[in-house]
Amino acid sequence: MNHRSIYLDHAATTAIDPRVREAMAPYLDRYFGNPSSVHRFGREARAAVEKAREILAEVISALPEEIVFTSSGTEANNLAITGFLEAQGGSPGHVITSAIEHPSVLNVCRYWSETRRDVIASCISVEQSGLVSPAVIEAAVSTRTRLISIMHCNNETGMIQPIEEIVEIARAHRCNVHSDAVQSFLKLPLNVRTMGLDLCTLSAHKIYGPKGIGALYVKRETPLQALLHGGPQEQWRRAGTENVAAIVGFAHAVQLGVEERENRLAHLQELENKFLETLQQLGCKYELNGLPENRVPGIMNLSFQEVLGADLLIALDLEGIVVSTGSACSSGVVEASYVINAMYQDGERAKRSIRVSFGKDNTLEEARRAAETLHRIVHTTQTHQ
Amino acid sequence: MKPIYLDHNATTPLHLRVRQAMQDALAIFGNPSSIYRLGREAHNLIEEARQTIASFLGAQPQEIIFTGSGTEANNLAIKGVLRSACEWMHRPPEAFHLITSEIEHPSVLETCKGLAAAGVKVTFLPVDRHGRVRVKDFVAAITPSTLLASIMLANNEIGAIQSIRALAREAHKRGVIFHSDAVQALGKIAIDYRKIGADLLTFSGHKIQGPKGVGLLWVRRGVRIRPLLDGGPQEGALRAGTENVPGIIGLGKAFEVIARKDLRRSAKSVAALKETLRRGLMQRIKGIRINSPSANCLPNTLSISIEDTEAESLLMQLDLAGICVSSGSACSTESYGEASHVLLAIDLSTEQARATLRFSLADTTTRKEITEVLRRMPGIVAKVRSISPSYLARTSGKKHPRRSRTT
Repeated sequence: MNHRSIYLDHAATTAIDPRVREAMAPYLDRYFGNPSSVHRFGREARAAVEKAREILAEVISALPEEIVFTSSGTEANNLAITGFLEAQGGSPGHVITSAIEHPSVLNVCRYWSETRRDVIASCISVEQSGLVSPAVIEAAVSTRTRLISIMHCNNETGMIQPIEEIVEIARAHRCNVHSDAVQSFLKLPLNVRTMGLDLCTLSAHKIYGPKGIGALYVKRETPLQALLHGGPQEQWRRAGTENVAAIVGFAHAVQLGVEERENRLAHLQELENKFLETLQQLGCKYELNGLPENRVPGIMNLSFQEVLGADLLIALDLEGIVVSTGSACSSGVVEASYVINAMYQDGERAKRSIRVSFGKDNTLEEARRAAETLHRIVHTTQTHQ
Repeated sequence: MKPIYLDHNATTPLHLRVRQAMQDALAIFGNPSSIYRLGREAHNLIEEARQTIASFLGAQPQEIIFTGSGTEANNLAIKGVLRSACEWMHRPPEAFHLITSEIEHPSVLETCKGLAAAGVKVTFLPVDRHGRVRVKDFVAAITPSTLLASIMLANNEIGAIQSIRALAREAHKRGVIFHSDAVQALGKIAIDYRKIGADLLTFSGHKIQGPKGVGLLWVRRGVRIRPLLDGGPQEGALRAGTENVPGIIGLGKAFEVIARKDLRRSAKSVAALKETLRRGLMQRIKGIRINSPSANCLPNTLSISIEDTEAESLLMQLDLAGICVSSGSACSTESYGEASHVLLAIDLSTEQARATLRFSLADTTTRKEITEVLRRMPGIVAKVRSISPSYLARTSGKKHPRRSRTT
């Protein structure tokens, strides 16, 4: 990476913390055993995996056996929804999700409702604020509803969803709740017990841990069918040799995140304030997509008049500043954010949006420079049109 | 003394070059799906790995789908082909027939059992006593509704290598899609994977001195599959999820290491060590049955049953002596005390199956290590037998009358 570049896309992925890398190193070397092997190499690996599971469980107030390690947040979301629906036997029923969920939730729900006659998926709309309205959920829920899947905070706007109220509705209608907490993890308090979640998705590479590892919290006695069949790993809920080093890295990243939580959050808030203040001081006009409140610190979605998000992204990249538009496609074609579109019903505004997401290692100087550069590009583009 | 690791079919230590590549890759952090420079860097490294692997296999890069494990690749192959066929032929799963064998890896067997429970017709072919699927059985099992056959290239427990080209040819003659789990064969024997003619092939990283947490499925162009993990458009929209960048780079490096090896030569030297081990054990210990076939077998795999012993006790004693082997598959789905489905399929009794050890060597295994194993084994077997009721009953009939034997 170019050392002068400023990385402001922490909602997409984060750099692995050097301390996490160090914690992983022995498991890429000495402790290479297969955790299912009974000899010493296997037992060492097994111990490391189970220790990691305990750490993760404790942080979210779950039991170790309620944690299933997966290869990604995407896999955990797939396992939560498909695994839950398949465990319903003959009549999977009705699922409620929202229009602003991660593609791994949206596309799974779409697949189920398109291929199975006994599954109906309701994808509810959101308010302009980017918030799911409990009243809309209440209206959508029926006696056939089995599962409600709503993310903890949105990855494009940072808007915090009213999970507690949604859980209450679910309880009243005897259905289960899944929440994708990938973006909120270690930013918002996550106590699966008091929140009353049945399923909850976590991922490591958004919290300075390694890629290739995620986890699903599965409340005891929640019916769940494995997505990957084979060996008895993860108590028959996810077959495949455990990715030991990544699991160890995940747990270490969580531990660091818990220890440094207050400082990190305060720093993110400072970065965000500095960034927005600088824009304001320069007289740069922006629209914040979402609300200033009910938002995790550090994730901001902004639209600028007469400037396309894709053009901004490229111009900023040339200046060494890394941000993103809502959804980047692997083919390199930039599409307008479906999240912003769902909020404002305004494709034009969606096309004009960019997401800026700060991380623990950004400096205030970087925030200021990024705002200045952004203003300069926006201003130049606007005056040349 | 350093422990002697002879369980390479369970997992392998990282190759030095793989570890180095991964350590470096852990510092690269872009999300490959991001279109800015940092993302493209990560993306390009993944594509390089894909290219390396494809050229070793004789595949097109776009035919390689990276997964989170060999298990996931096997699941994707079988369920992916079935789901896709259901969609484009507008027929329910129950309309299709699958063929597999009794000695497959649990990730194939359990997937097929799950589908069978859901109404899909599945034939589990028996094997001969050498652990091989008979081609005529295979042909006879094919029906007009047969969609897919999945037969492993080489078995993980006994090392039997299948007549995979013949099976694939017969499948294709009858319009059946052919998948093979090649996880255990890779890097152990010289194979032209292209010439096998399989439509789908599964590989895994951690069996070839590569990383855990990454595998791949080779899907020949024209073969339709439906993804198992929905979400983003990664891997040609066939496997969603942010790519495991260091894992994939490590896998690419592990393939590169294999590609530079003379596999014929290393197979020969490993086979020579295995032969030393086999002969030495037979000479030193009475009542040994060799389960690995003498021909068409992985050069590194030796499965033996030792009369009047229990694998659990043997493993414990061996571990104390610093010798790490296994009783069969690490992914075994049989619970404690149950017998291996592979060993039962080659006609071992439950007792024999439960008295089985698997030695799996590598080209890093030394003659000294084999000598040490041969030195320690007789004592360990004697110790385990000294507490075995059946052995005592037979060797000193008076003290332990036959009727005291438990079954």
